Amino acid sequence: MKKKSEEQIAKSKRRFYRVQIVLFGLLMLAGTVLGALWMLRPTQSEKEKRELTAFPEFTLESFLDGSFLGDISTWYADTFPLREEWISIDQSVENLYGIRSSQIIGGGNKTADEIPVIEESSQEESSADASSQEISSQEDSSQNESSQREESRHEESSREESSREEKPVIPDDPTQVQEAIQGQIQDGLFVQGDAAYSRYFFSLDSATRYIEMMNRVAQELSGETEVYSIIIPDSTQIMLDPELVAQLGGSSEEQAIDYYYGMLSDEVHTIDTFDTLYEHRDEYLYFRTDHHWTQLGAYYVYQNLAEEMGVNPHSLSDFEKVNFGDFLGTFYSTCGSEEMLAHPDFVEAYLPMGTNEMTFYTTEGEEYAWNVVRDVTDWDIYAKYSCFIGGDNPYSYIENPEIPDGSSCLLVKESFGNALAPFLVDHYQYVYIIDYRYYNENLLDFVRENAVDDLILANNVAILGSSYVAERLDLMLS
Amino acid sequence: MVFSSLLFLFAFLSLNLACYFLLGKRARNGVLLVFSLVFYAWSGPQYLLLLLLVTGISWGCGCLIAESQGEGRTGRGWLVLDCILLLGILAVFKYTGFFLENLQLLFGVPEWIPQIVLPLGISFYTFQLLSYCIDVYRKEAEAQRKYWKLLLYASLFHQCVAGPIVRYQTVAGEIEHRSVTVEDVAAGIRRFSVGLAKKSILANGCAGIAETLLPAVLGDMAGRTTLGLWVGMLFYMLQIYLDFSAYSDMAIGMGRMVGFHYLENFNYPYIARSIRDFWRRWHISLSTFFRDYVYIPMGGSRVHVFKWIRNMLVVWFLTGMWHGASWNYILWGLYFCLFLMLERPLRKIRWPGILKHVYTLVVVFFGWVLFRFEDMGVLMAVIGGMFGGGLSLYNADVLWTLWNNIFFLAAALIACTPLGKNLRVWRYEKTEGRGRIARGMQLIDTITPVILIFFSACALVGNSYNPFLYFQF
Repeated sequence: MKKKSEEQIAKSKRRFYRVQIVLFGLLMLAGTVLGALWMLRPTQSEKEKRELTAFPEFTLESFLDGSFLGDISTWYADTFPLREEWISIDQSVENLYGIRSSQIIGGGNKTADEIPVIEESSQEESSADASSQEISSQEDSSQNESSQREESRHEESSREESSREEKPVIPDDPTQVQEAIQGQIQDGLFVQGDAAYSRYFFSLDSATRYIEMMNRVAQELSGETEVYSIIIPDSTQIMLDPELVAQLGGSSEEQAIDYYYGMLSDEVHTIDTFDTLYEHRDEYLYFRTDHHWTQLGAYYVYQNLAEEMGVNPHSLSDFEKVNFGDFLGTFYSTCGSEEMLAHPDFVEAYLPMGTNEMTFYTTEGEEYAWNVVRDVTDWDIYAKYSCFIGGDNPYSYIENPEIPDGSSCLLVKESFGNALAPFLVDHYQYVYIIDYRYYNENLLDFVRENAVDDLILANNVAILGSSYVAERLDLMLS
Repeated sequence: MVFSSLLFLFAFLSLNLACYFLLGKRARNGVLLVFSLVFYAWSGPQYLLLLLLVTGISWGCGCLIAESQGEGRTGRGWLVLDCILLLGILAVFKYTGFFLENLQLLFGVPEWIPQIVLPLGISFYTFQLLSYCIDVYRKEAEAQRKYWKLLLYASLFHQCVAGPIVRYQTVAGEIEHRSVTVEDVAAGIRRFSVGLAKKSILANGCAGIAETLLPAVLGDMAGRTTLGLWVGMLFYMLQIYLDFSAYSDMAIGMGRMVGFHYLENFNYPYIARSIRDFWRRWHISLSTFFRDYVYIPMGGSRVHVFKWIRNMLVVWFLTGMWHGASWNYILWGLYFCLFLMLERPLRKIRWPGILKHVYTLVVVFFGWVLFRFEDMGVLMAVIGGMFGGGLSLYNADVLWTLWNNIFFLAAALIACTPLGKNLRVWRYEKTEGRGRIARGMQLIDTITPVILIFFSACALVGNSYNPFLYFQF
């Protein structure tokens, strides 16, 4: 009797085993078929803002050393059909790993230089050479941008990463500059609820180079062109409570901006940013899912700029306001937070009054007629910040027919300046815009050739901390 | 190609299994061999030649040993030749750079050190082929007359690149003849899926956390905290077990699916009660290799105490060196040797069980510190930092990291214990396979593999997620 029942048990077990094998077979078949559907493979990712790995080109050499076949593995995984769907499942799983109300994403091991205190006596003398200042500072202990920045999550490439270099190499390639800047901002992101905040690490070396560059520019252009410096803080220290900011570590952006401004010569007009923005911190000054400021944030700084220039700023109500709808920015791409997805940002823009026409040139030298504020309502949700001045291009200009007096300004900027540019339109006949990351000509030559009245450098303080950026700015004078 | 990649899972393995089961019994070894060679060639076709050559040497020597045995002759000469050639090739590829670097450090010559790329899996297949010849010499295995069958043994993609080190005698019979039962296939699938999930979800996750918390170069030390180093090392300790044992799980599972029964390679090493116990549970195929082919032939422990110490030092020097051509691995081997020697006279004392576990885990933990850092400067800085060493105790980052991954940590810790296995065994024993609970368990067994593989695949796609943020199209 018992024996029979044991046979039955074995039989029932085998039935389960068969089901198990069939299920496994079906899953493997489904995966294999899906993987083989060549035409479903994506080639680029909007969310990650990058081209996905391309199928490698065959050469005998790359075949023999294994890199061809290895690249096929990377290509196969990187362009797997429906990858965004799989990734979001994976990210939902990862959200269960712990209590993630506050979170640090990536890196987070940078150290800051101490921000020097400017001594009163030396401030008087401060003019051309900032490095000769008597400043109390600590040595640059470790600046590891290069090692931490590419948290490449590819298995293969992470192994190669073990050969990290300590000193960053200065790249010529603009995409490398972009990557470096990205690292500067995205390293050790603090995520809380539906918002993320970057952390700031002061670098004395980068600061000194910016200061020297600015002072030299002001000296060279003295009497010809007015020079303005705008250093824009990140959302973190404006929007978060100071107590939490202290916990996050890093350097004070307020002190850093004070240091930058304090070290600039009297010939450079400095525009207050921190205090003004802090006063308005209950307004929508910064995106929660992106590292940029909103155009409203830029407006308050524009008011200060106008005041310093001695002109009347236009009031916000003078401009036509447009809303381009939901926006998910770089912070969302980094952390994939579900709360951000459920509660995205929105992009509002103010149309310049004189004209909305502009021209920009791409890195390849192609010319485009565009809009100062482009209607991007139908654009991808990740691309909405590109509504301003056509995004980042090496060189653009705007001619305002309403002010035919020959006046001109040159805005030298990275992407933070994009939101500021539309406000300049209604004060000049010509607004020239240079993105120093991609522009390869001499800045002073440009200013002189075009008889520019006002030179405005608008930069984010964290981006200025990148040694790559300092290098790029140096290059503009050579 | 690595097991934990989408290409392996959804192109290589699925095709391999399809061909294996669809093409009929006679083609099975052929299918395995072709797929194994493709798998091996994937990491660099030129090294396939080396594998073919080394297998050829062992095949020739194996046949010659068998031929020359009998009438008082042992064929020892051929065995010696095989060992010299195989170990020589291993030494050239793996240790030339290390040897010359040390020479340069001591004498300043040579000025130029060649950069030799380590061929994939050479440490594993060399040892497998050595064991083959030794077993033939000892008459524990018959010589394999067919070259391609020995090549199948050496190159079989299940174990060729990351172990376990399968002995020829374990699979000799199954290479010639094996039958696959439904139980085998089902058990193989379960084992493989557990291994895949362990690797792609748990081990990769631990690796990511360890990497953010531990320094890679000396300049990285600034801004570290004492707690961060400890937590980072904890995740590394979990990673290294989960990673390595996952490869063995997958190898054993894939073998089982096609009728091979490889021996276990890990037996929950982190629950060991002594270092001796640990090494009986950790990378079992390697420690038994050294035990059977080095330690015991030299006399083992049944010799004068000085000889025993010598034997121990040799075995553990070699064990350390096998793991990598760098002093920290040798140090790591000798570190365990020291504790093994200290344990021997203390074995008779009865310690409380908990103390044994704590002692073992602490020793193993610091062993992994030695193992992790090839650069002596970083190693010293980390050890210093773990005991204060001028670092701050903790910072918000470390607390957040810990908090953000607290459940994950718990899951990884549980995965290192036999808790799941015991629960399952206990359930089955209690029900004796009858009743609702047994059927419920079977149902869980039935669907778990596909769930694990599904989430592993998602994690593998997720690994390719690499936002490049400033880029504009």
